[in-house]
Amino acid sequence: MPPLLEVRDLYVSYKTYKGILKVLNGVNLYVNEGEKVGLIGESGCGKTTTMKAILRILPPNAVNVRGQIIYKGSKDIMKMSKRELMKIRRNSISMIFQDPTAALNPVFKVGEQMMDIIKFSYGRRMTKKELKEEALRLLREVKLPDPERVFDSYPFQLSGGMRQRVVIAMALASAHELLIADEPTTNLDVTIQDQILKLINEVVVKRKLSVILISHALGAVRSMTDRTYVMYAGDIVEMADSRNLFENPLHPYTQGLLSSVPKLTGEGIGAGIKGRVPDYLNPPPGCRFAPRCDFARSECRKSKPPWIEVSKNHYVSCWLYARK
Amino acid sequence: MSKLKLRIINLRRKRGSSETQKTSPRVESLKRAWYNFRKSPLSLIGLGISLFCIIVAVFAPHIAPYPEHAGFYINFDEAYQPPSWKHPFGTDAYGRDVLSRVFFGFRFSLMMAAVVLSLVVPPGVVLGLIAGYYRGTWVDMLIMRIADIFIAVPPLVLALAICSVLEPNVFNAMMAVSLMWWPWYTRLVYNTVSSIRNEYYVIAAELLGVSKAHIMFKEILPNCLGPILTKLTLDIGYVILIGASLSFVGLGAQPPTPDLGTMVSEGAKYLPNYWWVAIFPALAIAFIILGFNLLGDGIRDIFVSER
Amino acid sequence: MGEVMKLSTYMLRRVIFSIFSLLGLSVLVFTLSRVLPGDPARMAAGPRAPEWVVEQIRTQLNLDKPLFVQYILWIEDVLRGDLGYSLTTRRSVTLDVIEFLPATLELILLSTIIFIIGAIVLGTIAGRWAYRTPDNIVRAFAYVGVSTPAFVWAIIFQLIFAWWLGWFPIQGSFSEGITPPPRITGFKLIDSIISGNFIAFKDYLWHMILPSLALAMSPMAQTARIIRTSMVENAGKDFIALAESHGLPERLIMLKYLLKPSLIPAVTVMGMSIAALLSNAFLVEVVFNWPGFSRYAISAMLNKDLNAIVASVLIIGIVYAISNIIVDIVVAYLDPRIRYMERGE
Repeated sequence: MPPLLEVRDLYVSYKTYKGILKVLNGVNLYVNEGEKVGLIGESGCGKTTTMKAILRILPPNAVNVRGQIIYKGSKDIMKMSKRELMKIRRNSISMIFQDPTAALNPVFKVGEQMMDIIKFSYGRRMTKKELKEEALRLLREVKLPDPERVFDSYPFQLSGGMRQRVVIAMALASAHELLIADEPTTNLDVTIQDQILKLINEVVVKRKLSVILISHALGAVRSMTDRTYVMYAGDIVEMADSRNLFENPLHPYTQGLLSSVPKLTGEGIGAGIKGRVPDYLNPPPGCRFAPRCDFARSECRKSKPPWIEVSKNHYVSCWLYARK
Repeated sequence: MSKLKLRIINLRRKRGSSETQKTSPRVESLKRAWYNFRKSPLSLIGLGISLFCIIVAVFAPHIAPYPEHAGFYINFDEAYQPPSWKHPFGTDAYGRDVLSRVFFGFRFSLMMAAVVLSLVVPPGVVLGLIAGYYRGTWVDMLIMRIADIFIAVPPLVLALAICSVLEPNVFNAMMAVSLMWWPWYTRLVYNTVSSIRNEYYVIAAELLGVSKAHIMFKEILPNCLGPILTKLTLDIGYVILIGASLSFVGLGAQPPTPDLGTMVSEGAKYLPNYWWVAIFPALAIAFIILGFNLLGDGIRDIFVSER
Repeated sequence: MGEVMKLSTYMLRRVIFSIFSLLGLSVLVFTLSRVLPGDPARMAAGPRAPEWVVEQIRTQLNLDKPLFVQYILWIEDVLRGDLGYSLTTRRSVTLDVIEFLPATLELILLSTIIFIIGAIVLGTIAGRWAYRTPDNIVRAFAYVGVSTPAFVWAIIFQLIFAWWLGWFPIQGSFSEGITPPPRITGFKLIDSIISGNFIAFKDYLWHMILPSLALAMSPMAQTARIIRTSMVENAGKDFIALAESHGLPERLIMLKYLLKPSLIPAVTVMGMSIAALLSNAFLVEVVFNWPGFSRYAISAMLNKDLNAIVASVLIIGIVYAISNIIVDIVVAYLDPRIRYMERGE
């Protein structure tokens, strides 16, 4: 069975005032049907860019977009016609955005936005009454206490948690195969994060969706996903079954990342990772983590490391694990 | 004030450069500003046009082919000549060379802009500094309320009204325009000052007992320069536009003064047959204003990209 | 959570605020007219009238009373509709206003329609094809438009479209041989429709086009720029990405979800432009010999017709305030956050 979605050699750059930021450096990942895949990495490493590329909703200043995004083993999303792409967006893949305040149009009522989404996703002609009823149904599904009122509200009248539930409700309208959750809780209060993650878990199970979960809540990623990718500066550096990854991180970056998380056992906070954020304007020719890596060797600075299978379903992109 | 205090203040200033640079921070930021400015072709065009107009204005008596035509001159034999090699812009009803008059028109417009802005900007800025520094007190209220009244009135109307009750001439027109202009600078500076008034380096200076005047002019003012410069440049264009409009209507410069607006209104009578008498001055107005607008935008972009 | 203030409450507050503004303006205008040099009584009487006549006029015009009292009396007159006597037209200024103001308002109305539609179209095109050729053309036009005064456009249009090409009339509001409609509302467009005189209606409209277009150029350019910038900025925002991610058709996104938030920063500028239209109208009225209020105001100013001047400035101030209110209401309608915030503070 081919994977539901496979990203191959994806390159994306952004054109800015300062120059061209070469963000994605040949990203490869895949999601199987029914699988829940995690994606972790620091802010700005290109996770959102990858997700936006999948749906082809990159901002206008994205340039030099190359690569393939194979859907269900046959069609390349990058080459799809507008019509085929619309079908994917309306019925197959959907996204929950990181900042619910930014994701909702501030000058339209929630109900209005939802009705338009439902109208185009459901494919059949619906009266205004039917659209409203369906919207209310979705709002109830995401456990909003007063769906009628939310329907009639503007985004700024709702709390952060409520806004995110609205975004999830919208995603449910057009996600029947793959749900991409891009840091769904990062911008929310700590008390709400748990609820939202539970909600996402529920709807995913109920509707049998595949998921890509991006989050800084490493604990959640570990418990909610089957397999996890680690990303740094536009490269995928490690991938493993989630339990393996968190128990046995191989890549120096992953090790640093996981040790930065305070442990409940009270072992104290790890040393963190030295060095600065990566330079996307003039990225180093070899491994992009080399400038910050304690174990960097000469070949690390010269060429990009290969993708090596170190143990069962556990891959790393690091020279340390090349034929010793 | 002791040298120690001065040095402490210098360290806190928002100039942002290390002690180890060979050139002074001022020169560095100028170089950077020029580099940013150079990147936009429109800004360069604006700079070119503006410089061209300024040079023409300053040297008009020397480069105009017929400088004596600028004022009172009559030669009916040469009247109504269409554009030719001898008179690239043609001649008007009195036989005067339109090209020369346009050059003097630039001179006149820029002079007016210079006078108005030098009358308006210093008091406006100072008032804005004071109001912003003493924000929240009666000083602030007083200054800003007065400014608000002036801003609420449609600008051109106020200028017209003033001009109308006085004798229509250049001087009064300039006074009228100045009177309604200063509040814009006050408000601009006030907004900028309000936001930086409580920054640490200002408070540090206050605690050190530095005089208020010094704080306002040496600490706060340099950080307002961006918006002030931008507005100033754009205003040159705007003052020229208002000046030309006033003269066009007859409330500003009177004939035979070579003011571009007056030339257009005189020439309008001779459309369409002797179209050049009105059209060239009209295009000249658009040209010079365009130049300063482009330049002003370019300057604004420098300060925006620095942020 | 907060209730969003009703539109009507918002309107009421704005109106009250404007009345205060207008009072301030009236004080300013009045003081100006009485304080500046020149003897109004002498001017009204004429240079050859004997001194006692001048004195009589002075008493009649209340010029001997203190300024404050004069002001009160003047306000009373104004509220009764008496704006004084015009030296140039030799009749009540109020009558002059009634005759000339509608023509200018019609001109401004057409200009407003032209510039708003033009700006939205140009701004959307420029935003949609940002950084490419259509955008560059629109931006070039925007610069030129903003830098060129209305009378320059007027002269150029008159030369090219009226004189050389002959597509439009050169001057005035009616062609020879056309009977103007009877005065019902004073608005010639409405009057011609009411009286069934469609020929006059078309003729009038035809005369209106060039002056309105010339007036509309500058605000169109300025507003188009803002709409364009706003659209480009908003196009990269997440709420547009969300709309795209759900497969909403591009046209719907552009014309509904992108346009509405992008219009908001433009509306403030639009409002200022509409108000500016009123003061710039005279530039165009003069060139096209349009029988409007601004031209009347200018000739009053040139002739030092004090009553007419004061009345003109006041009328312009009132129209200015009204258009500002309308703009504020439109903004509040477009951006509900503003209504919310006003209540909350």
